[in-house]
Amino acid sequence: MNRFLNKSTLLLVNNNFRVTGSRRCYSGVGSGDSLNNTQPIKQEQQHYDVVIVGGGLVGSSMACALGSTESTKHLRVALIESAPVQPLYPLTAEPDLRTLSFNHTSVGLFDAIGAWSLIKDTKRTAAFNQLKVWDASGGGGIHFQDNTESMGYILENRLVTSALLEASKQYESITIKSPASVKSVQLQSTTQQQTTVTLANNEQLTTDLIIAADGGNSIIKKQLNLESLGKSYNQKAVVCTIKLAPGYQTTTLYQRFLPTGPIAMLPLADGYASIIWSTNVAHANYLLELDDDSFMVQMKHAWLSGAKTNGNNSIVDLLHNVLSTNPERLSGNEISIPPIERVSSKRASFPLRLEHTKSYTQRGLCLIGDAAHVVHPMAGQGVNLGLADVIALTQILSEGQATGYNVGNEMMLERYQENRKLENIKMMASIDTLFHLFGSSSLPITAIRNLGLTLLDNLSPLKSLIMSISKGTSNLQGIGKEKFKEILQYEKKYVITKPIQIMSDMEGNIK
Amino acid sequence: MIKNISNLITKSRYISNYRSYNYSTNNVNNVNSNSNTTKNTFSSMKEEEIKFFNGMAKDWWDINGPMRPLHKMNPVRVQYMVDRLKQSGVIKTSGGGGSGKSLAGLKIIDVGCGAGLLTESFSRLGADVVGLDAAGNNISMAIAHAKQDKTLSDNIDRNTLQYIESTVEQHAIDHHSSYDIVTTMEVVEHVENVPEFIKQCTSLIKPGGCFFLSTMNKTTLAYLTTIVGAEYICKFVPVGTHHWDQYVKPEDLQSYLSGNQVNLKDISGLFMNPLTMNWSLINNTNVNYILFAMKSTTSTTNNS
Repeated sequence: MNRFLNKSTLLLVNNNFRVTGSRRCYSGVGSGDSLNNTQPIKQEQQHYDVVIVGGGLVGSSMACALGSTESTKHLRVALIESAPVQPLYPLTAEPDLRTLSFNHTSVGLFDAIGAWSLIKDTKRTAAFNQLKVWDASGGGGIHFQDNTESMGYILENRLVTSALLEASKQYESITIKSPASVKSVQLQSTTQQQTTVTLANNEQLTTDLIIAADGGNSIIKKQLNLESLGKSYNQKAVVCTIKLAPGYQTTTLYQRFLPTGPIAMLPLADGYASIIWSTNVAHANYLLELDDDSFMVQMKHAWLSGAKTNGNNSIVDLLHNVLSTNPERLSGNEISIPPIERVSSKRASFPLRLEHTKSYTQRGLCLIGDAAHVVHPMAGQGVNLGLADVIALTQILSEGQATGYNVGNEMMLERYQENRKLENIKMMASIDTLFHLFGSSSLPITAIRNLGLTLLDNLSPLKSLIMSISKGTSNLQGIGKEKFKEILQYEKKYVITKPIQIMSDMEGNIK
Repeated sequence: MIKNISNLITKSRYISNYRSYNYSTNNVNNVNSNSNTTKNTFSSMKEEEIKFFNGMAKDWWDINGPMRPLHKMNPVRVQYMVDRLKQSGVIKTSGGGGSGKSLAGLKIIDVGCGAGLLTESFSRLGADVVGLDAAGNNISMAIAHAKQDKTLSDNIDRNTLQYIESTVEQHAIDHHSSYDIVTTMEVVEHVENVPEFIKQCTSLIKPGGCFFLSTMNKTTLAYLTTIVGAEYICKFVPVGTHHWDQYVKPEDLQSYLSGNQVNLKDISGLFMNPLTMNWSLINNTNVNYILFAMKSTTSTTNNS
């Protein structure tokens, strides 16, 4: 009975979730009879079964997933977000500059937690069902088409986050603390029954499980000194949105691999598109400083300019001749993008890196999303990996609740890590392989890349690799080295000795 | 290496204890007097004692230690029990109205509870549960571990989670037909007089109540996997943990059970993937198996 009383109190708090100062105090989980307890109760301390740090896409999805799942909906969840909650409406006149690509699994999760209908109602969803990828230096290009279903959706980050926070209001177990940030964390141990989280305003929460969903620069990770492995690509991504010429609306995702890095155009609703241009740091800074008109000139050049071959055309020409025998490749006039009218947003940039936390879990702690793993945005999979973490963790916590485990039990959390780590590493390695395949500007590798790209338009392995990365499916196997072997075998038929030598070297480097 | 093994054998002592004291009159009396005194001191354990047993409990509860296979088995066997209880209508299919307390209102005894791996699960699922073990070290470890957790220590304070140091026959004297559910997991293979043990366990069940038991089959395959494989080759569990001659065939158990008006409802195999140590339910009962039985409602009056 006391439980229900507690719940209805919680409901009142939630209906007015901006009032973050409301305090509920009780002595223990499920005991509910704090009034009879003789121990002194600290006024500032509140207990939540789960504290999620980070109310972004992944964190708010996690909260909703726990709230909507039968065997976890009784768990009291606090969601801590440093930025103020932005209401879904009114919508901005033009799309926000930060957009993300969502695969079907992610959309399925949004649907299950009651956010997809809210997102759809904004009429700002854009599906894509074609993928056109080509290269800077020659005629190579590949084309994927999926007529039966959309390959995924491009959505505005801000819009999805607001919809998720809106959706979380329907779950009475969720309390949003915003704006609020974590000052310190004291993890539970054999001598301390519960984890204590102290907020910047000195409010104290006790909890059984902290879920860190606070992104690539996770405060929790820093606080607890968690070890991670990573590298910088020495690149930045410049992002903005553009308006296509009147009457143009596309469902194709375009990507061109330039010597400096890939530029991508992701279709948005109402004739808009999102640009993600990865390039070296100096070039990115230069692009950020340009005025809109000059930026437009640079961007059109990036999409449509001819081969940049450092003055040495012979190998490219040779390869081009060989490749022109391949009738299935994307022909020259197919390599184009819809006309661009103007740049419709400010430009922003973020550094590109790869980072992987060694251990996602320990007693009372679990990392999800970018807090656990940061990938290159080239394949647009960062958020999809994070949402796959949400699904896996919800499943594990649900099993734990059904079989009588504390929500922070390390053995159950370890199973989440077992489920996710391999998938995440596979995806990271695939993307990193693609980065190295496409990310080099040295001529011979550019030539091989171009060769490979065209040859592989018809070669199922790499095609399915790129396809599965885009779709977010995870049955990737033997990426990297094996793909190169297949390229190698295919290429031997053409008896091109020099590139084979170079590819063998590359193969040795990758592994 | 040798140090390692002797270390493991020390741990296996807690299991072996069960075998040595059982049905020895001297020990029963001994334990009986112990149980009274220990019970009184549970709530007021000395600080040094808690510290000492904390260390021991940590060992038993180390999920990467020799008890790892048992830890990994626990979620699977609890899920099995919850599913069977739902199927047979003992608990609601909605699982406790979404409160996470699917076993609320049920009185359960876990016979041979060890350090409380299963007992803790029952307690969190809302049951009024007794963990019974004749080995005092196990009981102390179980209590020390439960006290590290807020929910469980609250449940101990409210007497809905109790650990009692006693043999089953001693406990049965004044707890006849007292429990909705009796479980005895991975215990019967350490017991010498199985028919007598089953008789005592089943006497605790209320008419219409439930009985769960898991153990290892007396097959060559079980010998190869659980003793040769798990103890000697993979060293998953301490050498000397298991004695094949004490393994029990399911058909024998079924006849002991029906002799006490307890009817077998289901039997399933349990399989451990040796690489991941993850368990799953299978049809084949040749190695590990778990069974579900129910006591007939008229058993107290109707004796064959």
